Amino acid sequence: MTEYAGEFHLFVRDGDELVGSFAPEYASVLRELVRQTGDLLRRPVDRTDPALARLFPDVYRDSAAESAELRRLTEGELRTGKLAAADRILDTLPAGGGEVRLGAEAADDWLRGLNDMRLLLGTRLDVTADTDVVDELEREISQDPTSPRSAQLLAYGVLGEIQTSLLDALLT
Amino acid sequence: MSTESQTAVRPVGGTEVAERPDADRPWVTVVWDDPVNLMTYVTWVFSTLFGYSRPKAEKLMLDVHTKGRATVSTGARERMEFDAGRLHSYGLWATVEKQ
Repeated sequence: MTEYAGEFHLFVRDGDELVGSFAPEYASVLRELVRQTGDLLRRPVDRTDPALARLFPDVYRDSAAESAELRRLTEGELRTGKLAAADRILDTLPAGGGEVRLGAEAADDWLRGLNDMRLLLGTRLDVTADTDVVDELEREISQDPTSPRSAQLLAYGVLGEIQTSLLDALLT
Repeated sequence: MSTESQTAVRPVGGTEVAERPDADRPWVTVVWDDPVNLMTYVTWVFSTLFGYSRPKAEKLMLDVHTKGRATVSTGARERMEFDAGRLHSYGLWATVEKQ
C-alpha cells in the first residue's frame, strides 16, 4: 500500500456533502481519463492484460478452473459496477471545471472509480512499493516531457491527490 | 456480517483434534498487499464493507501492509466468494481459500 505526503484541499466537507473545486485543466484531464477507462471497461475483459487482470482478479489462487467458473457468474456485475462508478464521475464533474458536490453514494462511486484508474495506470507504469512517483515524474519530464510515460505519471499523481483529498474530507 | 470468532472444536478432555476432516475447516477471504492502494482507502473499505470499527479496520490494513496478507472474513464458502466480489468492486486484491 502507499500514502501521499502533503495536504490536498481539493475537497472539503459541507454537512453531509463533500464539495470539490476543480480547475478547468484538472476537470478536463480527469474526464478524459474516465472516458478512456469507460471505453476499456466496455470491451470484453482481456485477461492477458495485467492491468485488467488486476481489476478482475482470480478468486482462487490455486485453481484457474474454479476462478473461471465463478467469474462466469460474477464478472458482468463487477464490470457494470465499475462502469457505473466511472459514469458517476462524468455526471457530477462539470466539463469546464468548477464545483462538485457529492452525497455519500456519489462519494463512494468517486473513490471506487478513482481507485480503478489508479490501479490501471499503476500497473501499466510498473509501480512498486519502492516507486517514488514525484522523483520518477521529474526524471521522465527532464528526459522527454511529451512522452506517454510523462503523461501517465502525471495522471497517476493527480488521481492520487484527488483520492487522498476526498478521503481526508470524508473521514473528518 | 461475518466475524472471525470461531469456537475452537475440542473433544471432551481438551486436546485439539489434530486432523480435522477437510470439510470442517471454514473458508476465509484474504486481502493481499499491493503497491497502489492507499492505506487510508483500504481502512475505509474494511469499515464500510464489514462494519468493522476504525481500530479494527486499521489493524487489518496494517497486517496487509506489513505481512503481505490478512484474513478479513471467515465463514461459508459462498459468503466468502460474495465478500471477495465486493472487495474487487472496491479494487482490493481479495481471494478465497480454506483456513
